Amino acid sequence: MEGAADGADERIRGRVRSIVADVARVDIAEVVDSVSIREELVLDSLLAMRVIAACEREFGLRIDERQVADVQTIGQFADLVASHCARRRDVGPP
Amino acid sequence: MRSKQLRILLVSPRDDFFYGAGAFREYIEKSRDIQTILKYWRGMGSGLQTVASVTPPDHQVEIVNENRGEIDFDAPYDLVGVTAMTQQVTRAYEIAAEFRRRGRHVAIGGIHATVMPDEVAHHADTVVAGEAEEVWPGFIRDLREGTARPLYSGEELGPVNLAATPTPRHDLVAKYRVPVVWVQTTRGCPHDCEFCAATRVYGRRYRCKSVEQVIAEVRHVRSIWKTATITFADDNMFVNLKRSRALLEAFSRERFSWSAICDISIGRDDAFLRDLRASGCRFVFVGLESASRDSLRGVDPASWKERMHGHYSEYVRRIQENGIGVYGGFIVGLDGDDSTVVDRTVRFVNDNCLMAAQVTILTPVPGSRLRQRMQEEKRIVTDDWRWYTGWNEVIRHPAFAPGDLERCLMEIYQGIYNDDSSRKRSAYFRQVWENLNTPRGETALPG
Repeated sequence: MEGAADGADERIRGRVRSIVADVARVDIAEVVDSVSIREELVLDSLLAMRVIAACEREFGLRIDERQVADVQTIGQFADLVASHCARRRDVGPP
Repeated sequence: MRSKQLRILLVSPRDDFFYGAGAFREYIEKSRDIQTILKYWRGMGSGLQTVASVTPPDHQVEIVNENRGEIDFDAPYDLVGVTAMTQQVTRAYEIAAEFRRRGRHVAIGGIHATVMPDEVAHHADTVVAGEAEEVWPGFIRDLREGTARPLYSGEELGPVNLAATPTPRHDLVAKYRVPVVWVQTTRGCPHDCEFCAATRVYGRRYRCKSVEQVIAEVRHVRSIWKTATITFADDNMFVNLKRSRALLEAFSRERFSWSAICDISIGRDDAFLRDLRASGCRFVFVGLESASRDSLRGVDPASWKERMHGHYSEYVRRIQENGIGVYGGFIVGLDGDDSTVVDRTVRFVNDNCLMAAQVTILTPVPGSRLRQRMQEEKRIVTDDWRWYTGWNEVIRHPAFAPGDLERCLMEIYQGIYNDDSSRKRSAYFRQVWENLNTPRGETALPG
């Protein structure tokens, strides 16, 4: 089961990177975990909400934007989305 | 110097846009929203890369941006070219003095040199006033032949044909890591606002680079900085709608994101706004100037902004509902302003959920009609250019005691950038994206 969860986690992280690349209009190869969302991609409040809305739609989640306020990097944001997805898997559909 | 390859250094001096505004600097540095927005203003300009592109290729050119790197004052340069906006010019004079002491030929150009050539002449061996593209190659030739003059003026040769200019040499600043790069595609603005020097610097005729030139520069920039966003530095980018549509079509085929400066009139054209979003536009900076119609009186000769004021909220809404942020520019200290300017500005920005706002104090920059009028009215407090930041009060205003304009500015920023307004903006933008992502015929439910 752990392997399946790891695989799901990787798929989620890949999709998150793809969404960020689409919104920032950069090559996905450039969207690695260490890239800074504000310092390098300069995602302002409007684009940050675009990324959040796209992730919510993709994964059927609701993300509180206040949680995103402290996120610095792509890797941290992917972690946040993956943890929301894992929580939903554990709890099951509402 | 005949037949010699010249070693040329081009310098953009360090700027200090918070000079003397310690409390304001501290506030800004703590605000995450403002910090992100400031990244755009601190992007890499393209003026010196443009000068480098018209330097005859047999010379060696280096560029130092003093905000990002150190100047080697002891290197054996044959020519040091320094550019400066008004706020930077004091530092430009210090740099010039250091190099002249070492026997280097120093040329100063840029906006301040264009509008204040006599002052600049005291600090440079050569002043390059006006647009550099046509006069710079001749100056280099004269310098090599030992016949350089003290003044080269772009006006002598008339307005530059932008459609014939080469791609700026961004490769010369590839050593700097930058998230935002400024690219210029047009020069000129039809509005001729009283406080702006653009008309004096660039003239009244609106001139454009071709779509092919712009795309070549975008590709050049993106080949160097793979994740950079581009801000178009034009004073008013979409004046020529036919050309703008062709640009947007070309942009939509490229994979990059960008922002621009324009006027509010784009808000009346939904088809244009849809194309804008499809082409990767993040936001537009719009000089709204004031939330008060009375304060807009006399800002531009045709009263265009005063007449547009009644449409401000509607056009802002239409632009932002298309997923494009509006970054509003406001000025405190216009003649019609009084102490209600704080409430009015904060309410306008927050009620309309503007993505961001830049608020500055009315500043009589050299070259503007405003400066001439304020000199006649004896309302200018200082000519120390270090204070010409836009955050500092350098004028007297009949409705404000000294220091009040700076206090108003701080109160406005605190009213705009706080947790409550930030939450409201986020909720609004969430709704915008949900609506844009919802197929027609369905309605996204509020969050």
